[in-house]
Amino acid sequence: MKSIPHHQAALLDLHNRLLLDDPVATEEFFSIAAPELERHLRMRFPSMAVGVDPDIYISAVYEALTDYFKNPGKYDPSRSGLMTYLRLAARRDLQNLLAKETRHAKGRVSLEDVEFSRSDGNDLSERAAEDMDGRRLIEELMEEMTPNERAVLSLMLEGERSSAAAAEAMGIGHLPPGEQAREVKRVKDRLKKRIQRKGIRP
Amino acid sequence: MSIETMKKISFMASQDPFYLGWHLTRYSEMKGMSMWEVGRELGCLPETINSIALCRAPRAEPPDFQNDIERVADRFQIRADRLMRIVRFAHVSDGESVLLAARDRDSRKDEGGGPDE
Repeated sequence: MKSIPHHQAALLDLHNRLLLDDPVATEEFFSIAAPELERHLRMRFPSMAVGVDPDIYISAVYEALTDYFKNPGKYDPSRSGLMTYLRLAARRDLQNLLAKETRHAKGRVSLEDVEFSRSDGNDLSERAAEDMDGRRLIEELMEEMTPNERAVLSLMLEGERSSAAAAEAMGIGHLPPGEQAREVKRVKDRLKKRIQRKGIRP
Repeated sequence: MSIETMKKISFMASQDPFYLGWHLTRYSEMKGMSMWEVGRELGCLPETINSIALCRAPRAEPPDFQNDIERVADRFQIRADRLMRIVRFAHVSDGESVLLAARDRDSRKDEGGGPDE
């Protein structure tokens, strides 16, 4: 299939058909939007840790679109373009899926290691494996976190430390870089305090 | 969308009663048929079954149910009567709770309950 830009008009037409309960609109929507959303996620999150499900991008796209199909009225055309709305939803779903995988597969990684050291992944795993309380502490920590903190932390666990990536994950990619950096720093500082309060070793 | 991506998304849709794929899959499992055979029963090409699976499942209410079936049949040039039979079979045999839930919802509406979401 030829590379499709946004096809905003086609998507808005499909949006209206979803609102009217057209049963075939979902299939047409998948055909147009899924490849572009998948491409977007692969560009934004080009590297995945070893062991992460390679279909995680498609799963995030599927979840974002399905949530939207089940309640298309949640999208407000006066606030953003439809594709912008869906990209944001797909990024958040990807972050949530990554966080879920992280909790299950990488639960033993010490948060302080990820946050404040530059060790490589193998070293981290070995060190974290020694810390039997780490998993429980991380799970508690995850439950206490805000969605933004979870999104930033899951990026860090993937080795992504740039403010731009964190800003995207927090849904503030549209703000000027200075504001993005300030917001990201605020979230990282809060994360650091949470970690310190938990008494996780540095 | 690539065929591979289409297959993966169709598989995901087969796990959710919101999609027609869930009904087609239940039917194929209970009849011991492959999805290719289900497609043949509907009168479509094998690859089309993945597209049909991504349609929303028909609404349970009587006029809407028929309209939705006909809409899908018309879009993919398949047999509406067979699609209807497949969806009903899947409902009755394996998804009875889905049907009952829809009936409950209908009766609540008939009794003057709030509008459906």
